[in-house]
Amino acid sequence: MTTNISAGSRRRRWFPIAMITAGVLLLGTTVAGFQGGFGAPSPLAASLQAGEPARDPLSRMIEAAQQELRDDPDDALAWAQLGSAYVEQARATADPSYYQKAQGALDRSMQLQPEGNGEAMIGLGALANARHDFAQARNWALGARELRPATGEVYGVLADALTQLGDAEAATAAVQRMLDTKPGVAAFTRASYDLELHGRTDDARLALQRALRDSHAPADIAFCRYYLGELAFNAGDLDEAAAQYAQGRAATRHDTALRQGQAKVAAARGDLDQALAGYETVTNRVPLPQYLQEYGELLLVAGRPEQAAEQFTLFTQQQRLYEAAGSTDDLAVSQFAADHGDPAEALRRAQAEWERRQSVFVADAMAWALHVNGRDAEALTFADRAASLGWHNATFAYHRGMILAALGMRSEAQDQLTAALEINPYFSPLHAPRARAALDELRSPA
Amino acid sequence: MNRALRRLAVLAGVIVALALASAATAAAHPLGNFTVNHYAGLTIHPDRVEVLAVVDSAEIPTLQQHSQVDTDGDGLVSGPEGQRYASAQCDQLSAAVRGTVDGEPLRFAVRSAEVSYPPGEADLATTRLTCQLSAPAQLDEPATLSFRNDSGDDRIGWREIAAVGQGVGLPEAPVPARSISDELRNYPDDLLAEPLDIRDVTLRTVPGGASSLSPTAPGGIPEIAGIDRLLGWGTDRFTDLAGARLTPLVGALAVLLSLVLGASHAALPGHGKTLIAAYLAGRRGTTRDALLVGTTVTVTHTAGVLVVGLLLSAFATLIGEQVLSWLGVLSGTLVAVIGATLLRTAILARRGSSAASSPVPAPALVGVAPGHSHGHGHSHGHGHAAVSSDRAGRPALLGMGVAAGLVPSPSALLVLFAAIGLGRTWFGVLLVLGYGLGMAATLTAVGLLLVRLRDRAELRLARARGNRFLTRLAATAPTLTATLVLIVGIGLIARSLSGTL
Repeated sequence: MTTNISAGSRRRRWFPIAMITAGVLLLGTTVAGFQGGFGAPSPLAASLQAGEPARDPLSRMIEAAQQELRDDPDDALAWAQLGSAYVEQARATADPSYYQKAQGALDRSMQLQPEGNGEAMIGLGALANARHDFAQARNWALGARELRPATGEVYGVLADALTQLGDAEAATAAVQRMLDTKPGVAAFTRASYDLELHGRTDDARLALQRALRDSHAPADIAFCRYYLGELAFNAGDLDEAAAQYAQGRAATRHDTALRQGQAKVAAARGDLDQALAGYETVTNRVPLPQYLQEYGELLLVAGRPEQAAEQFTLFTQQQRLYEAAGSTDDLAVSQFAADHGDPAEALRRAQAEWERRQSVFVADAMAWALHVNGRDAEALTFADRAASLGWHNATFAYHRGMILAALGMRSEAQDQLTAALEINPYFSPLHAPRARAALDELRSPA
Repeated sequence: MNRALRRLAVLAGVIVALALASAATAAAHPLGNFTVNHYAGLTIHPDRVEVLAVVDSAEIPTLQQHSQVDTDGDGLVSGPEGQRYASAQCDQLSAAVRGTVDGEPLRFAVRSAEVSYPPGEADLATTRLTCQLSAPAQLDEPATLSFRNDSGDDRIGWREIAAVGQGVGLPEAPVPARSISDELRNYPDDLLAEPLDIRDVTLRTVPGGASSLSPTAPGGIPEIAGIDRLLGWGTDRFTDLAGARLTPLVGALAVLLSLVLGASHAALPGHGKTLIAAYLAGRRGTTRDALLVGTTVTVTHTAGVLVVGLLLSAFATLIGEQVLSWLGVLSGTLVAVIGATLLRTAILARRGSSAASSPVPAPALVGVAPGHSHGHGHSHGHGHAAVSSDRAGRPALLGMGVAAGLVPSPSALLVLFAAIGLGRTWFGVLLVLGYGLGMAATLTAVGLLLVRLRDRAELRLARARGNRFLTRLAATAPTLTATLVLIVGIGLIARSLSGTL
């Protein structure tokens, strides 16, 4: 009797705890079971699959990394890979929400492994490049190089940063190193850009064709086709450009860059209606400052200044939003302000950018900003610097020609303007006619 | 003293207000300042399909649309201008969405159109267009409903669909019942999920049922429309409260409402919880036993909701409906195992009772659910009975408690999701706890009531001891009730499985 009672009371204490624990454990394992065996695909995954029958490798990789991290959320390497994949996805889809995800994933990876985390540093470098923080990107890449000297991606990030920072020699070396360590699509497209900047347009095309041969993912094919189209367009070859853009769009219907390319070709061919319709679509989907400026300028050419003003307002507000988010694109603002009535702002912005980096792009912006402020002697030194790599860039040549003309160096000015129109007679719907007018004036006896 | 107290209260209020304000002023567009985001919330009634369509345009598209809205070009959007724009946009949207019921197209009409301009980044406005659409439909019989929203395909953005039934059940709905972004007000920040891109949904509809999350609950018995609707309304308020401005009054009200809802949830027929109460009464349960069961249910249910809730919000690949179904199977298995054990005990006891002179009492079941409590089982033997039944019964009783609490109540889950979505997880946990306490209160009360009833019935039975039929009934009661528990358990498994597979 006594034993019974004490056994009972002991049980009384023991059973509730045991039963509840068992219940919760059962619950946990049941739910966990869904993760592995009998879980149906999520509605999201299902709808994604339904919408896009052919999943590209990047999306598949993202999905795999996400799955892996759901099982093991403390895997620093997987977080780093996911972060880098998000950076790529942001570029491929033009959807900026991936940048925030990338930042979150890469921070998480660094948190889990603060020391010696080369993968995360590569990702952070790529993210910094995407956000135009090139100095930061270079630092990440240099840090990652210490840890992973034989990783191709390190040199990709490094090359991109150095090119934009204006360290052309080091950039070329980084591209070469990338070709040596990982000769793939990413290395050949970068090599192509480096060759183009140095005026070796034919080699640049070969490198891109090589990259295209290695491309399997639709996003990679679209990327290569777009730059092949750009090379052709920048050389004034409209038919070749149109063909490349069209083939790119056959790979990915929604690629905005390719649509912008087609709109450019339409404008160059004089089909303003089609060009404007194209730009409307492009700026609706991805209202990048460059597209807004081009659209506005095309509207000016079409004699629709009010609508052009709307696009220019958008450009300005877009910049305010960038600044509110803590990133500045002084280069784009300077170029815009110089051509659209704010010379002082153009110069201020160009100088701010020049303090950060001394690339040919910024040198050209400095030259043009000084020119619109009437400081052509100073402008010429920057124009020389912009031409130093030998890039066949019609806009650069046009700027240089106009500066020379303002300085009264008529024959040099004629040469430059002729060169600009020879490189690409369609380089800008707004400026190409101005180049022609200036050239006529220079040729006519004074 | 009084003043000090008042100051303290004011301080507490300020802290809460500050905490909420900082949560509310989070970045307007985590998805990027040029996205246009679409939400479609379907509410499916037996006679119509209503769609709450929301379009949230970030700063840049708002500017891009400005010239369309500001028709007189004065730089401002006047009331009539906004209204005209909203109507035109909703008309377009209503023409762009596609819905069918069993292949028959739905014809949507715009019930209301509104536009507002919540402030965004850099002193720029964003646009929030809200359209109420409605289309007549015949859903009083099982049907297949499909819906597609492709409008604004030329823009990048979040695309979300939710669906809930009102008087229509949506078994295995592939979309949630409530927006996970609070209708585009609060985008979840999950590093492991893609930006949502759901453009279409196909739903199976069945008449009756409160929501798409209505689980195959243990002992699920067809709903009683009136109470169900009332509870549905209460649940909606409950979920709203988790997102309301959290003043002390609202907080207290929410906790109170959670208690009431939990209590009514347990009182609904067709819940395994009533099984325990009945069982409790049958097996000579004491007040203490009743309290114990109440505690077990509360703890299991709260833990269950928290675990399932956290797992569901952490893993996008889980489907709530399926998890609940499988938990239903688990709960049924537990009941069946208990039934089988009881049956074995009862048979052993009967064999024993034919050998020994005094029968060992076994648990008896009074009824499966209120309204079915006819068979007043009764077990013989007094005196030492308490001890031996304790040994055989308490684990079973606790098992019942766990089984009853194991399947999280959908409304408790919803409120937890709402709270997590709003970054008020702790408040959600508090409400879930309140819900569990409410459930426990009902169960304990029913249990106690049945204990009293049984005592009185027993008295009468004792007087009528001469009656041979009653005596025989009393002797076979343990076996009968154990069998009944087993059958109910198997029934629960079958029911949950039929919903799952």
